[in-house]
Amino acid sequence: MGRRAAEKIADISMLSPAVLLVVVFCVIPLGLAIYLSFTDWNGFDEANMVGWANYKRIGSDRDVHRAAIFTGLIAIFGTLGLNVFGLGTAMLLNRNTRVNRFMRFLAFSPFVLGAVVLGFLWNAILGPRGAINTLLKTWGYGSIPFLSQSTPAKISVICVIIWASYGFHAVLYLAGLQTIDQSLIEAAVVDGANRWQIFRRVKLPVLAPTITVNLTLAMIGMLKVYEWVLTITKGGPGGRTQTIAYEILSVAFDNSWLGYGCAQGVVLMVILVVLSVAIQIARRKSEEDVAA
Amino acid sequence: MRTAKRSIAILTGAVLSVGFMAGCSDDKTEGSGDASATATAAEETTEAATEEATEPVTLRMLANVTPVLTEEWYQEWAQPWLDAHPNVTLEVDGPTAEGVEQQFQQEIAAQDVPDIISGGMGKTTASQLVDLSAYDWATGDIPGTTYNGDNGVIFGIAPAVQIQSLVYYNEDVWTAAGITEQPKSLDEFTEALRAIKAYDSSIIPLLLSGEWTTQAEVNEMAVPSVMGSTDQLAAIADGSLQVADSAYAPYFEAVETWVAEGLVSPDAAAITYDDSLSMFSTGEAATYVMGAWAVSTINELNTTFTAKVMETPTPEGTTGHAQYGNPAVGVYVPKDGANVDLALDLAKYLTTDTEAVTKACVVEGNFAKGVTYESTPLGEEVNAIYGAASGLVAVDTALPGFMDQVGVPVQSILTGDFTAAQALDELQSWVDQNRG
Repeated sequence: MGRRAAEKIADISMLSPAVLLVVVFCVIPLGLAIYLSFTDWNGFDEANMVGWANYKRIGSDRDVHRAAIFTGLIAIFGTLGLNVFGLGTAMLLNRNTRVNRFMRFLAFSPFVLGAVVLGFLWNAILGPRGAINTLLKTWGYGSIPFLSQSTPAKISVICVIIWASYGFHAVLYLAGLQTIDQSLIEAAVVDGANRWQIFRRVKLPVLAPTITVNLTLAMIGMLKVYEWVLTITKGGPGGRTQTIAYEILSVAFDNSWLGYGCAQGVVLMVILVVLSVAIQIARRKSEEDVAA
Repeated sequence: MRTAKRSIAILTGAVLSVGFMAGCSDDKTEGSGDASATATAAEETTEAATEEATEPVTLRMLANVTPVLTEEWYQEWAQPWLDAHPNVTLEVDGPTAEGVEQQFQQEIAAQDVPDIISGGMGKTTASQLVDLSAYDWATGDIPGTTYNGDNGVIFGIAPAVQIQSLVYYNEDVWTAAGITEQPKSLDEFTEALRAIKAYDSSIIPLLLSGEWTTQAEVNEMAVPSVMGSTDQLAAIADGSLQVADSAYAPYFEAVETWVAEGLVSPDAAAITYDDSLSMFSTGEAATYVMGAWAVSTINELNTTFTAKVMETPTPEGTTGHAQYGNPAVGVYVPKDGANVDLALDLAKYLTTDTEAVTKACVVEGNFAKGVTYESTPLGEEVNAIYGAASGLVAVDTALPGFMDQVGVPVQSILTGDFTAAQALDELQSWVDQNRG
């Protein structure tokens, strides 16, 4: 056996576990989901081919439309909120002092605790008989319908998601800020630039790659929101806080329409891929602009 | 040296690959149930397995865990059988999904099938469960009832039945509000709620709640009419009846009236089941629509007022109407469980043994043939309503998910997003969308 052939075999054999993992846990399930999306499989009985029926049904399903609108709202306001608060916090906590280190820990800690624990906690805080409304009642005020009316429930879910996740984005922005060459800032100061000009003309362009990474991660994360809805509102009231991910699991398992759920999953996946590619293209362009 | 390193690398890669494939393979060899077995063969298999089982075995039960049906209760329910099978331990799991049916489906997908299930499941799952029609103990004169699938299949058995179309009320508040007679029609019921509000506006006249309880409350009220003279659910499912023309309509309209007049809590759509029990029991709300299982919790919470119960009002004001009933504490044995024969033996015990059936009745105020037990005054009232009812209507619609879906547009009435007409249209849209 030649040296090159032996090296090739070594490469293949070293790669094979990873390739197997990807094939077994990504490629096969994805292929299966695409196949099942063209069937009426209920999870138990034989799957029958139904052509494009499941995809046509998505187009006329009011629950899906409602879920898509709320998911869009989460994606827009969540992505904006996470990045504005993340960047703002990073700017405030950029200097490496003891207080700032503690504040960074505080900002990041909700992300560590996770959605399920915090979701139930916020449900207990915001519910009709939760901590806030109980206090208000004790003080003689009426209750605030945080979770019992559609719009406040939507706002509550988005705010909790932003509160719980902005710390993660703040850490990414902090890492980006700390890579900025101080001589650039000093040169800008010498040139008479004020704080806003330094931020706008020096820091922001250098942070462009970090911003695109944060935008991509936030957008994808927001489009897949499930646990927050499950734990805070269970999709209610009246299904008004259902997201696409929640809707998929709901139709697939609660109603035993796995074929239809798979079709919704495939559509969501396509949207995620398109958005990710679009953001990557935007990122590349912004990096090229910075380099230029 | 480099050749040796390369050889080690090749070997390591190969071992990891093979190991990974081996880990993924399914070497499950243990028993799966044969639904087509003859009665005799099935009984023999069960007996043989019971006698031979001396190795330590853990049976996993997926159970509908509620504030009343706790994990401890399930253990206690099975304890005499466990005492007779010292090698067997029972592990009770509550569902993390919406209910046991949905959880069972997820567990099948994960190839982690429970040995035995207790709760409510529909026909959709029948193909995954042992057909009990092959077993004498499940087909004779049983204390409870069976879950019947197509072609004579019995996919589950319940030790008892329960009734649901009940309205609990705070007699002290009702009397003080001048309500001297139990309202029979929906209009009379609404008048009674108005009287409560006029008496004391700090009390919630009618407790409607959110999550799954919305659909439970509306169905508990509507099903006796929906399933009255004709099976309107079947007509809705086959498209011959529009939801807006069904007996659901007057109840949706009543909810709209109650919301508009402030006769239900403005937070109704987010009140949980546990909170609703507590709000009625502490006197925060004067009237509460819920099934017979609420009796035990209301008794346990020691209300400071006299709690009474009556049948749900109907649009026409009929009394002694059929009760929305369903099998209680149903038991099912999955075909692909690891210990099918032992699970069948446990199912037989839980659904036919007098002590087990009595426990299943007492815990939720349920009913079973030949079982009598001492009850509380509130429980006795439920017994009287059951005795006077013209029958028991069970629901097994051809539209999976319909009963749950009823609560979604009703919640939108509670939030003020929909009128009754819009909610009925929304439900109709769902039916059209999901009709097979």
